[in-house]
Amino acid sequence: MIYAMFFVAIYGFIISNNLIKKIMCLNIIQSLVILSFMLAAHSKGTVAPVISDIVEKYADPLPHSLMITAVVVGVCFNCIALSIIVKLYYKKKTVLVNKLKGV
Amino acid sequence: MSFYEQNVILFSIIPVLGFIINFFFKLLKKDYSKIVYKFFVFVQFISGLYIFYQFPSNPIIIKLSIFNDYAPVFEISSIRLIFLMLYMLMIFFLFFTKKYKNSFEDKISIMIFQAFLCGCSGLIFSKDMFSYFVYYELMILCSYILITSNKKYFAALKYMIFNSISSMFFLAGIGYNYYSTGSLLIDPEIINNKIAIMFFLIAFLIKGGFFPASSWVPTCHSGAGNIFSGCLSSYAISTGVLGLYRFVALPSIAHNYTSFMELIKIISVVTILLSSFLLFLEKNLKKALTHSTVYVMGVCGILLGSGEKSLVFIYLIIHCFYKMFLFILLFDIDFSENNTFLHVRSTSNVFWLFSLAVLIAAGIFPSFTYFAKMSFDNYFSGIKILWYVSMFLILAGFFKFKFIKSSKFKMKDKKIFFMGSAYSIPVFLFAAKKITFLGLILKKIIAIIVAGGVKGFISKLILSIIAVQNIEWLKIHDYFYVDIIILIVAYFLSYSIYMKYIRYNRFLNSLINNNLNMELFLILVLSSFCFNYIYFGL
Repeated sequence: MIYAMFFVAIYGFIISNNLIKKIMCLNIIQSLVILSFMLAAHSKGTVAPVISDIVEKYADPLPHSLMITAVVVGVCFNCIALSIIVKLYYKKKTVLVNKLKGV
Repeated sequence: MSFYEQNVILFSIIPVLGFIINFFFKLLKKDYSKIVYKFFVFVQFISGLYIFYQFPSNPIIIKLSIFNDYAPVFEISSIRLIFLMLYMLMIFFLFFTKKYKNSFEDKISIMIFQAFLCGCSGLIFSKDMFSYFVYYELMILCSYILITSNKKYFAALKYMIFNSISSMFFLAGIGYNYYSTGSLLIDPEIINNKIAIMFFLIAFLIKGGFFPASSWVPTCHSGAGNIFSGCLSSYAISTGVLGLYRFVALPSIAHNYTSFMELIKIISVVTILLSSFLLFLEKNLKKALTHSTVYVMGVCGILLGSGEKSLVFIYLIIHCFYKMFLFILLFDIDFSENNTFLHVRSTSNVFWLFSLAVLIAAGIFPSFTYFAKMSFDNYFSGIKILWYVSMFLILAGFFKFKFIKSSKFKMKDKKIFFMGSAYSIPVFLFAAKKITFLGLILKKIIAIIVAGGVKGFISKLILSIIAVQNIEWLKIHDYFYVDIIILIVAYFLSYSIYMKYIRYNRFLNSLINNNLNMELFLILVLSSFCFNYIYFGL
């Protein structure tokens, strides 16, 4: 499922002319990278890393904590990218890549 | 923890202190932001000097937590110290230039620039992958905003798109490496997974502006203000080479993965040829300077692929010096998009300083860049022809710009003296062995000066050939005329190829005219090529 989503996002990212769609595809790719990190942290029979007496096997907590930082970076990226696109739209009245050459 | 170690940890935090103080001063009516900025740049410079002065003979590893690998780890070693030198050269220019006012006009820009400096300086000593990633992201996120402050929105967006792709590759590499080794340390012995190194390779090829992801560099770097363009071209892009060194070159040497080094060399050769050719055709002076940055990255790639690691960093330091200098000189030159006429504004030395810096950029004798390229000719066969052709294209590309109002040469001027002495150090080093070459060097310099002064593109080209060929006058071998013929043929061949095939070819034209979708597609092709090359060979 992740691989299928990945190829769809790559396809959209390369083919799409609309900048907002490009950013959306980029977000999907980023989410998939983060998701694959999370999945790899869980092996069979492990549960979420919340300490209790009943549970013996925990998932590796490090990737989760690292991915929070990556998510924050992603959010910052989105904020800046979308605000630039808005500025670009006010200036050129378009968000299509092929019409923005030389801007 | 000793004072020295504390100093290393705090080195990257110093600009953030300036950021916080500026944030509180923002509430006041009077503007103290530039004073605070200058003060903290100065403090960081002193801190860097202290790190240099007290540098121990053995590398030191500083861990911030008892959990070893799972907390930020810093390291001080000789190569990191060379990169620190690169950073300090950049902030030296920032501190002493009076032109920064034109680049950062408002308080917010100065604050963001301080955060950018934090990201830049954090990369130097960080030894764990995740803090490296975070520092890198901080650096490029601030870069996006600072490019938009120059109202070049598409340039900023392009920078964002390319760097976010490379960040994803980087993140994927970190993930692969973590699950195969269980460690986040940047250590050549630990990074042993081929797929992880592959991801790192693609990530840093994009960040370093290598082919096919090289076209974002001219658009984005020329979109920023002059000072910030200098910072991006001299330091920020060099971090791509630093990444290639730490994450690809060292691990592949340690585990004997020779195909990675070969791959870097192949891509670097294409990068050099493409960037020098594009510089030859470029009509915008600022973009021409950024093309030369891509060229330097290609040269560093070849040096790195050949195992000349210390030479790479020395080359980057020289590049930082003349590139910052050239970008600062742009304040005194009026230039437009599609016009090769340069109007010198105020100072009388611009033409001379510009010519000297361009000589170093092209790598003409007796600059260090020449020695770095020519000292080793065992990289691969045909490397000398590559150097000659690229040097010629770069010189001819720069000399096509015409200075309209060049004033008299003032020998007493301090700047000329400083530049001249910096330029002549290699001359003296070389002259220690063969003094008779000095007359020949003078001939070359005269040819360069005349090339800059004469009118007409063809005469400039001929004089550029003389300038490049002057190198060979040092050796006076049997193949002197063969080299001249190669250069002339290379020029006419490249020009005719451009006129006949590239100018009207949709695919190749997109490489020159910045077609975003085509470039993204080429990155995908590069990725698949790299994977194929590593696993199945050519």
